[in-house]
Amino acid sequence: MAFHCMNCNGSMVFDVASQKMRCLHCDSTCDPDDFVFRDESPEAGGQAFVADGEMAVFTCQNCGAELESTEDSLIGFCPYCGGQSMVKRTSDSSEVERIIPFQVSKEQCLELYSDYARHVRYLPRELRDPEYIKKFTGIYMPFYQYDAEFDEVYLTGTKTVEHNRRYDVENTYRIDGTVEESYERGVTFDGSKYLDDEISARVLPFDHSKERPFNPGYLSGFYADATSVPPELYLEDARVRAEEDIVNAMGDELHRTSGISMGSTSSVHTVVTGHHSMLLPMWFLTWRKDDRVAYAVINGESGEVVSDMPLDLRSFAFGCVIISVVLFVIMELLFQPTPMVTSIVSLVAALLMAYGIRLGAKREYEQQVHAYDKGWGGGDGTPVEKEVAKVRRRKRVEAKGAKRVGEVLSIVFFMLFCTMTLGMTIMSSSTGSSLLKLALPMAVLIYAIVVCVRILKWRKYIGRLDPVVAIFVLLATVVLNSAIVLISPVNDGWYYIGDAVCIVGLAVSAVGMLKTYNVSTTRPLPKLFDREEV
Amino acid sequence: MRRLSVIALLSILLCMALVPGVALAETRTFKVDDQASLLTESERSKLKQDYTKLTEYIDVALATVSKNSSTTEKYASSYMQKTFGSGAAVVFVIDMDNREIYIYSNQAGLATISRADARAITDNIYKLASQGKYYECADAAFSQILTKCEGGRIARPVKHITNLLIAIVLGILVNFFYAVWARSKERSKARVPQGPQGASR
Repeated sequence: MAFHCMNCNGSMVFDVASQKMRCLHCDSTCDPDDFVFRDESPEAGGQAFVADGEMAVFTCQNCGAELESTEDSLIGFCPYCGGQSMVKRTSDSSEVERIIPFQVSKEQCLELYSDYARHVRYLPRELRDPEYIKKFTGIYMPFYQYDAEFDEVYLTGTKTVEHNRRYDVENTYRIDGTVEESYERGVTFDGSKYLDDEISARVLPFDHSKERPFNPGYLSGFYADATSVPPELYLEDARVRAEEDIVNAMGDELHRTSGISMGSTSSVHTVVTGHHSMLLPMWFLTWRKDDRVAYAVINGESGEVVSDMPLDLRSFAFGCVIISVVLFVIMELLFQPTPMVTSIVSLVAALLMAYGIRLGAKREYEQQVHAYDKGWGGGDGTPVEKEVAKVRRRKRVEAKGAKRVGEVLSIVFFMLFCTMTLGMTIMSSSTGSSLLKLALPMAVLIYAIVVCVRILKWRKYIGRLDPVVAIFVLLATVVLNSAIVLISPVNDGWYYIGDAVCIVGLAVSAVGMLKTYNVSTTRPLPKLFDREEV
Repeated sequence: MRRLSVIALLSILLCMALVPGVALAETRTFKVDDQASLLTESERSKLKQDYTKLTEYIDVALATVSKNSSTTEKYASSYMQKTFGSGAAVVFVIDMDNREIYIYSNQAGLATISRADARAITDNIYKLASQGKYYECADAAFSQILTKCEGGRIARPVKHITNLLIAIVLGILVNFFYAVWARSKERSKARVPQGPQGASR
């Protein structure tokens, strides 16, 4: 199938502003829903499609050139004549039912992105270049929508009916009942194995009032992908999400009408009753670095910008210089620290950086084992596959609410730890107690070793040496500065050496972790990278 | 006549008020108490001679000690109390027992030599003491105290170096966490699938 004008046989593309198909040659328009395809099946002398592994070979209906496309593509573009063809798939297991046409034009997309990029710090210069960002490509991505039905309701809640200084009177409620509601196409998950679940979750929601029954005419001028993961993959997630949504909605209603705050043990029996396939519009900008690629994605309906762009290390270094100069000026006006203070600051900085390294390494580890990308699956029983299962089990537990509490507790504990050790160090300077003097160096040393052990455990999954190098350099810094604090040499030069080593250690660690971060923001090259602006 | 008597009485009272001040100015001293025998007699005399001008502003003492069971600061404080009482004074202590030098100003003396000034001066001269050049060390200390008393500025290289190093350390740290925070805050709004079995309530 190709998008030819019924008047002049020229190519037609979907015009976002008018929401109609427009002929590039004679400028005539037609409603995508009224567009009639000519019969250009292989039998009628049209395109031929042969599946060849993940690549598919088809014949351009304009010029007859033999072209390749990915098996998961719905649309193919001919680089020789610029013609566009709908590629028929050999095994079309999931028919597209509905589509939200692009509401954001390429011009609006560039404006939105430029506006967004102005507020993003340390973006690589290339990604601010007006010429480069013209590479934004419109792609319809496949999504699944799930229907759900609810019946038995079990809600718990509390309401404070009397409150004074001495006591509160709290009523507890339990509500049992039945909900006679269905949740039609209420939960959405992406159906492409190439689109990371995290990015697709961030680019949601779409305004479903703009949905239309699917007609290939809407695809003209854009790329489109077919589903590449089975709908069953998200069944349980859809059930949980639907239940969450209905429980939250009932909780809000309960609180609004009767002032009762719903408890966390509330539940609604939920059953997923069906699923639908649909295409949603997105603008993609890809930025390639070696064999990896980073994305900026714009919701083609709402204009929401989501990006996972890497940090530019040169801009980061410049930022460090600016912040250091500002801090230096402030400190010169307010403080006159002793050289010993520099060593203590170095130790505290090393402690915080160790925390940062741990967070960064954990994030990289989780990404490598696809903890947040359910579409990924090896199924080969390799060690990575086993680790994936283990991490996902843990994530499931964390999803029950433990994650937030755990994160808050770990931050509180870490802050207490820092405050306590720093307090002991300050006390040691006034009391001269060498035992208290030991507190900070020992605490930092122990924490750095704990982080070191944890990173070595993650090492085989992370695949990069940066976090390991970073933590070992930091460990060396901690050992040197701990020795300086404990020995308290008379010569100031030792403190300066310790501090200089700390600066080198922090710089190496920061750059190493940012490189790791940059890797975690990028992904292996997917098929859609090869797509050019159309 | 009665008016003259009142003026005379006021004049007498004014003179009485000024007398202690004049007397105090006259009694300001530069004391060299070299218990640790670090200086020669001629060095002690030369110090007194060179820094007599200090007594125009403040009481000054150089105290060296070879046996000290407490900290240098406590020793300096008690020496100050014993020697000068509560008048504005500065004591420079070379404590051979603790291997420490210390400049101590009492409450009244802090207006002239603040704690930060004292620390800056000791930072500037500690290497001379480490090398055993005690006269040069004391000479440099009193020279800088005099500069401060005369309203001049003293060099503070240690302050600049430590502030610079701390600023760089904090600059890297703050920028690193800012960069990571700024990028990761966007991710928090995503509701992603949680695992093969999904989450259960």
